[in-house]
Amino acid sequence: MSDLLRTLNPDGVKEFRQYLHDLRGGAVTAPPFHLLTDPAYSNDFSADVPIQTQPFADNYAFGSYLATTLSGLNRNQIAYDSALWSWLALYFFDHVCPLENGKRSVLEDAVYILAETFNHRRYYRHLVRTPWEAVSRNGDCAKVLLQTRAGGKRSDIFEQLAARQTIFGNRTIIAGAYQLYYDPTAQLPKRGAGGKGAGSPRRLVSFVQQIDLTYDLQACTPKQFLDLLPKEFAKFITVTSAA
Amino acid sequence: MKKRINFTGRRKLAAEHIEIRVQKPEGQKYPTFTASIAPAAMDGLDKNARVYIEPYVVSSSMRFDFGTVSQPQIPAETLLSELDREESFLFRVKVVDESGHVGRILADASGIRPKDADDDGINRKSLFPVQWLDLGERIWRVDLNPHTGPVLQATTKVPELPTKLKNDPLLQGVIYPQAFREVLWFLVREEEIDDDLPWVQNWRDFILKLTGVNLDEETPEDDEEREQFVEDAVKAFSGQHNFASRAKQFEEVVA
Repeated sequence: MSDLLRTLNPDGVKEFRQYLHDLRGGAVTAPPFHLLTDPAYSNDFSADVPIQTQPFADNYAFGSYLATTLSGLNRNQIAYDSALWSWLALYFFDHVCPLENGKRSVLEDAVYILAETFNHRRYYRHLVRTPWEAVSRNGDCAKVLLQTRAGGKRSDIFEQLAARQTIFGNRTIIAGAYQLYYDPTAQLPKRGAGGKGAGSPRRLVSFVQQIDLTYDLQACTPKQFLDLLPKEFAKFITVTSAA
Repeated sequence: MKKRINFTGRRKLAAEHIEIRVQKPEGQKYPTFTASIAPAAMDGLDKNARVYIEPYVVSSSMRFDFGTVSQPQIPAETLLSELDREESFLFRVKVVDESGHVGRILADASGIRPKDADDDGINRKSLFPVQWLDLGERIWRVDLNPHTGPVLQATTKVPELPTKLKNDPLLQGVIYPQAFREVLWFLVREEEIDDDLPWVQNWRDFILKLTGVNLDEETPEDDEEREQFVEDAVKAFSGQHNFASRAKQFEEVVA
């Protein structure tokens, strides 16, 4: 059964924050899902958007679901709506903070409660907004950011590329990273793609920061971008052909 | 001298040909900007090359398409919604080849400060802007970005710190000379600094006036010379601000 999208009001955010605090203190209470519909803690969203909880195989599947569900909405209207993203984090709490062996491993508040003012370093950590944004912007190529080999929530590829807005917001670079580090046959990031050595995402970030002075990578196609890369990346390029 | 990173021969757009203004309409959460580029700035550039304007602050940036060299266009929306803070925006203007050597930057201008609505036309140069952030348990640090210049970052955890930093010479004397020292080392040792960036020139002008050393013409050659240069400059800076004497006076007044 689906629900309608809503937003948490300041009292709802306060209660949600308190719940996170209590979890960190060892509480084992159920998430305060009543906040999602109680008019004292949440408001109607400006449009009727049906939404449904369900199991997601990974964060790419989660991001795809959100991108599809929210696709009819104006991106600029929802992208910075902290009340909406905080509501969604509570709504999908079992996905973003799953119960494992009777316990939830709660992270910092910023990954559930979106700050009211934009700050990429905080925003990119949000466990609902970032999968949505990654898939909305990059489609299939977001797999390189959102899927992990080890099954955890976040890979080193994600941390290296998503933490920097100039890279996360650049479709060419993300498409290039997909071709470098993602194995479409295995539907997983390639082995060795998360290291620190030659050709690694860390090195890719360094290269992009250097070439930014002389090339506008957003104007390039992924192929043109890959052609600019130094030899150290060849070991990843040769595994799959660049489109 | 520092290595110049300009192996593609890109041209510098003269800052005086570019005017950017930031406004924050009442009731709006985020500001917007307007930009005008004098046609003279584009003389000799490929008419089909694309013009982009990228506001940025620290590590966040946005991108707006302003058409081509021959057919400039103003974007429908210039909302500055994805920048990390509302103060101290800088702008980069890029003219990009998108037909021949795709992606190559033909000309650019970085570090352009916008004029405020009440600006009388003179760009204010903030040599060392202060940014207030959550720094964990640190009180301050210097963010050294070769593209945007140094920023003094200070904690938001101590509510009185902005006032104290503005008024208390003891605190200033503890923080500023050490922060200044970090910037000096960055300037004399960092090889990836683009000499033409406005922030580099502004700092070099400041250092020339302070120490008489023109870093455009002479750069300390080895660590020993650098150490001496930095030490002399920090001493001159501290002398200019009389931190110790003012701190003594301040304490006497407070007592």
